[in-house]
Amino acid sequence: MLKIDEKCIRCRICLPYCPVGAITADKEKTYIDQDLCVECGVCHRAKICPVNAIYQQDLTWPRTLRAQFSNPAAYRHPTAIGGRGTDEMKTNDVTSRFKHGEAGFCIELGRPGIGATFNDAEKVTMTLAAIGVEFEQENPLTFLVNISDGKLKDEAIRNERVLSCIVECKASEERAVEVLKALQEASKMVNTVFSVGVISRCREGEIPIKPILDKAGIKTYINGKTNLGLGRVRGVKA
Amino acid sequence: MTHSLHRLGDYESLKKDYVLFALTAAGVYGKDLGHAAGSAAKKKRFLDIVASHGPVNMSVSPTHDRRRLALAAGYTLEELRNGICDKSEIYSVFNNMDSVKRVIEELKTKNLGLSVVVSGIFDEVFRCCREISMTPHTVNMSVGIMGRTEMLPRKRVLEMTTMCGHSLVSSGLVEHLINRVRNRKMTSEEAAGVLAKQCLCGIFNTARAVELIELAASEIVDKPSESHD
Repeated sequence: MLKIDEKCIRCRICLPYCPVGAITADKEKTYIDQDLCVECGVCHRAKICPVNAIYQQDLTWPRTLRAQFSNPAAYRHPTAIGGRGTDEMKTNDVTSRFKHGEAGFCIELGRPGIGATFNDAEKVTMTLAAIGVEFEQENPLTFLVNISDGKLKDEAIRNERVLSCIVECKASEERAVEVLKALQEASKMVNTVFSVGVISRCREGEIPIKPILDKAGIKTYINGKTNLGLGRVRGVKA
Repeated sequence: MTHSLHRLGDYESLKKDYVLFALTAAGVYGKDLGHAAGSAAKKKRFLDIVASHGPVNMSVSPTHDRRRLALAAGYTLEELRNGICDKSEIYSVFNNMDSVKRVIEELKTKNLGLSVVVSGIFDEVFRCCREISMTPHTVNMSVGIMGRTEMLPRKRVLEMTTMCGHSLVSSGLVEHLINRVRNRKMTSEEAAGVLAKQCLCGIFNTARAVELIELAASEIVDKPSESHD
């Protein structure tokens, strides 16, 4: 748990560093709002406190989840799966996680910079479970929900806040628009934002899913990630 | 995860923003594909190739002692190199596509077998691939931000904060530093350096940030709720 001790001289230097605005100062003290704090560690790591008043206490379940999903430098993972997500398409040239004709989805709750609770995440996972997508089994958030209905397995985590968490799933290319429309519905139920990525395996230098999205009037950013296809295992390309 | 996706900006600004990185698959669905084993030497070669083409930032994470080292955080290229292990992912940031193209050409020739990803303008990346007879394998496209977008900071600030995909660069810090630059209490280079240090993965584009901070410092902000499309 990140805290500010009595050495604090109320200089307020630390205030703007918190990505979720959890550091507050009043006339008497500067403190970290423990409900808002996502345990990302930015304030502590930045070493900006002139009197070293910011310190880190050990975390216990379920607060440990905050650090796992928010602090990239945290290596103790209560879900047993590291980080916020998988390699998704980054190593698809080796893993073939996404095959021709499939569309992958990365829905990052709380991004950019707002934060989210697992209650928010459940709105999205329940919506997607209801229409029948295939959740990524190696994703740490999948570990926390029942994939049959998208509900949280453990009520104790519902109000834990994280900087972001990612729902990873896939469906057939033909169902991509249906999935995105379902996400638009889910977006009305969350108390945060989410950023959405769509993964598509290229075919002869083209992006098969792009014309499908264009036809449905779904805009995509001009920039994104391209796996160049240079990955090999013992000379074999997936 | 998707941390180099969703970088916000217009075409002219994003033309100066490319993230190029290499990694190996740890495995998939419990099966070790043998991609990572013994890959440290190849990753060191990747680092050397990339470094020779003038990136604006580079990083290695995790190192053999589970650290994240980035040039923008003050680590040297040699420290990055020494930290590389089989699990490491090597990141670099470029402010022009010509350099990225030269790196890709060299990587194609060297055939290291690492998975290599470029984050940037698709038209530019795909044109580069065609020109050097490569076929892109898979893409991840952003369809934007859904939900309570009224909670977001203004677009100019988002252009900077989204350069750290883990959202460790606070919008409050960006606004604070813009004000300091506007009031001539620090330079835009110093401000960009402070922001870059928060990004543990070293994919923050310091050169682009300098331009954006200067732009922001010269702007009069009277419309806090710009569109985020």
